Amino acid sequence: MILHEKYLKFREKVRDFADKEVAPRAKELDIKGEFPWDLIKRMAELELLALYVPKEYGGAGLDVLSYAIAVDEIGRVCGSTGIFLAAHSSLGVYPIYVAGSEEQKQKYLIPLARGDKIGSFGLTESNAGSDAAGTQTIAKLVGDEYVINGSKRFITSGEVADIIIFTATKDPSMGYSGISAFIVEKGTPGFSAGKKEDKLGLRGSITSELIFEDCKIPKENLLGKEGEGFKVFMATLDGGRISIGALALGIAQGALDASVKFVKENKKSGKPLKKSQSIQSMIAEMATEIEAARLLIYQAAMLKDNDMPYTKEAAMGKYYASLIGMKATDIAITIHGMLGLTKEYPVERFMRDEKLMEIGEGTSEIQKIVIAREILGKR
Amino acid sequence: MALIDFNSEQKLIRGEVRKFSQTELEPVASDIDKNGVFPVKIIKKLSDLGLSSLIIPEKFNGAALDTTSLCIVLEELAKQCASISTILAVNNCLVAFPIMNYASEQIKEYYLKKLAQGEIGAYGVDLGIDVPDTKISVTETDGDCLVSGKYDFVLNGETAHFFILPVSFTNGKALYLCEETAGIQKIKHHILGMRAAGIIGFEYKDLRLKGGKCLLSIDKATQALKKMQDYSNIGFSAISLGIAEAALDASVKYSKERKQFGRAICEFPMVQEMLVDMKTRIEAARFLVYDAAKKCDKAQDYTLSANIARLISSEAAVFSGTTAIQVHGGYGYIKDYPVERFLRDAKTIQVLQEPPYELKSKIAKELLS
Repeated sequence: MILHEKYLKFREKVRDFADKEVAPRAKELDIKGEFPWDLIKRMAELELLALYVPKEYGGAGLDVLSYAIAVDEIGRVCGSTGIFLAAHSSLGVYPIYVAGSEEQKQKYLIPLARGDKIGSFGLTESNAGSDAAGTQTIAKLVGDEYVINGSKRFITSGEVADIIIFTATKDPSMGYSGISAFIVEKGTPGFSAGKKEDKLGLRGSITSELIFEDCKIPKENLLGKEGEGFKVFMATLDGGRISIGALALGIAQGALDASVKFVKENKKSGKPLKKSQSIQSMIAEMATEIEAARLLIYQAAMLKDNDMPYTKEAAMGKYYASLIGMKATDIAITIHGMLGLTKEYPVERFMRDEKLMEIGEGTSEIQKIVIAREILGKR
Repeated sequence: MALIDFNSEQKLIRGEVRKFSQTELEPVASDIDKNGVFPVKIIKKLSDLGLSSLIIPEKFNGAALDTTSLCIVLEELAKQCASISTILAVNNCLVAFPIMNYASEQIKEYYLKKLAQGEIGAYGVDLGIDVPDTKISVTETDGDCLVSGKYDFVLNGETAHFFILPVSFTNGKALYLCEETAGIQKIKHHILGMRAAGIIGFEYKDLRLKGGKCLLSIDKATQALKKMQDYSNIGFSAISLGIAEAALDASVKYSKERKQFGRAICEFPMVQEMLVDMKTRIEAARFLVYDAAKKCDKAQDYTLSANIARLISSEAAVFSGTTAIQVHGGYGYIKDYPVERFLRDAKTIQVLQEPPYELKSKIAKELLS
């Protein structure tokens, strides 16, 4: 797709970092289930952790399109590092940037954007997945403090995060209108990380349970207004979908790149694989679908940068990129044959990583509902 | 008459294996996947029940089952543990089958009886990918063979007592039967799925394989290898079918239990559609698998049917694996539930030996001949 030169230059910079520093770590992060502390430090130095946040708040002062490009490029070599970046920027940084008071921005946004602190977002619960309004975590105002009780599940970077934005309700029977968003800091008494999940993919990313037991947080840690938590998390997820779509896209691109390399380097029964029409057909399908997904995702990012509505486009981008991403990673293994099942090639990792993109931050089914609602109307 | 009409003996076997799978495999399937350990004890138990040497004739102490029954056993085992099903498929379709059909009486007597006792045979996959260091050379001296080279994948290789190895020469392929001796360097893979099936790599350097025998010389091996592949494709298609069914069963169960928005998720049309898409593919695959098996049992040409069955059932299994994860949402992505294993196993069996595009090219050849 056509990109302005400043984006091409930015992409070169991120690609260089991804190829030289992230790619060599990807395999062991996956096998050992290691969290990429070193790469996070480097991303902070390169100002990649809050690309669209203004410089005065510790960000890079760029835009959402640059962010999508960065996640795309890093996802191309490592899904685990990509999901960290996406979760930190969209789920840790963004809610405070969009809904935080000036004080909250000074206190939390700046260290998050600079990468001095790690951010995370606690929305999902054991019994509140797609039904995010079904939250059972209770926030009760007692004097100048909120007392929080409940738990969160499947929280990206949960265990390692310093600053966590989460949702809780005044009363579960109130549905959306009872929900508020809050900020909690690691180390707050009554707040702890529970079970760490053993996952199919993204094994270099940490996914945890968060537990609140009579956890007291100051009143000023309410993010946005009371009862407006739903608004905060809907806005967060809208933006988050661009990054998960970009990550799905990047992983698919990685699968294509690996397949192209394999096909160019190897012969089957004496004949170069690239001369096989069956292989050519698979490569052409992957490349076409990836290009189409990229147009959707980058378009959603540009809409957001221009303050135009982007809910539908972001949902389409995530839905489509993860759909064709699963197909691309699946085909990539097929192209590699049995060799694609081993850790000698990255393609089986790509498929395992990619599957989360159809689930996290709204399943494909939820994306379809969002898209249909935008097209058919809300009522 | 129903398209699939099992006789009473076949139904009996199905019941017996299903019970065995549920009591013996279900509790351990997740662990043996995690640990990647070849399930020696379970294979022994299956062997004691006469369920390991499935297609071997009675005179060599085998169970002498027909191909339909072989598929029933593989399908039922795969519903709980695809690794174990694959071990048996390799033992029967790629090890016992060529010995039964192409070996001398003396070799049959010796090796088929070994298999019937519960010994494991392995099969070296000839990838046909010309990676420079996979060239394998064999020279025969005094009935032994001297092998140099590397097999990236030896099915059942981890604990096998003997091996069937196809070897590519410039003018064609030959098939060797070798017993293990010291000096084979085994390369342990950490593969996507079928992690307990003992799929490993072998590296040899000027290795003298005692009792190495040329089972089929170059002029005869090409045709025989095709037959073996067709036959094993029937077996593999039954494994894919079993995995797909397991994925559907888990999804039906979960979707009834899981509540969101105040009701069980199975009440939502989008979830129902996922279940239906799995079910329709599985039903189609089932007919194809047992049609191919029946053709084989009736001594009809089964090449086309076997390859179609494998293509469709392997697609059904991968589809069902990924869809089952989708039905489970976040829970499908973690190892507390079995569905992520189903996807890994389904993808692994799909590319074992012949990936889908090669099956398509074989089907096209049959269609156009």
